[in-house]
Amino acid sequence: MAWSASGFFRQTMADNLNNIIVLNLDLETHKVALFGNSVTPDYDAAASAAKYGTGGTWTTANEVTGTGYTAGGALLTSTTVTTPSAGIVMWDAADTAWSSATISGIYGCLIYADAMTTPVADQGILAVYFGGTSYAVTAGTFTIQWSANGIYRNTP
Amino acid sequence: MAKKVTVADVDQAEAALAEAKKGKDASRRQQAMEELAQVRSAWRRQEEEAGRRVGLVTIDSED
Repeated sequence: MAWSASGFFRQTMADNLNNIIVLNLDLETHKVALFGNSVTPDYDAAASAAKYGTGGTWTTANEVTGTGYTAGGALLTSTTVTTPSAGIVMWDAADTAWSSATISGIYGCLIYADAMTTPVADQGILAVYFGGTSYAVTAGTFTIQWSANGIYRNTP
Repeated sequence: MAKKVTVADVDQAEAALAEAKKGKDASRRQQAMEELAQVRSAWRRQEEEAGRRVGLVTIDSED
């Protein structure tokens, strides 16, 4: 098995709506970690499995490695939660980049709450599948260009 | 014709949001977020139309 789709971890959403966690998407402490093709995202997984690190599929063993990339990924910056048009709530951020990087085998990324410690540390928020292409960069900048429609949008 | 959005416009809006996030004024913070989101989306659309952006990464809750 491997990547086949992007998604929002449903237990994270449910825990947030039930006030079990406080997921503030406009914080700038969330991180983007890059993963290879060994992960099989389960968006219906329990919270303890939908996290960065040991306990689920999003382990360092499945994360990419390379020059210019530190395990755990990069911070998501200039985050915004807005209401751009009727019925739409949009979460967005500045493009995420790794400079002076040599990395290969990039198939997708996990966005997780790096500052969250309880009940589950590093709770996964969502994962983005890059479409099946194995991306790579050699001594350059690898940039995730988020859509003009944001990273995530809730529509009616 | 719509005004062309530049990287400097995006940088300026990001700086304004960074300042707003330091304070406790929720309405100012929200306004800064709305302004940044608007200018950033406009810039990205412009770049996509010009063929300078290849990424298109969005998760829609309907998916």
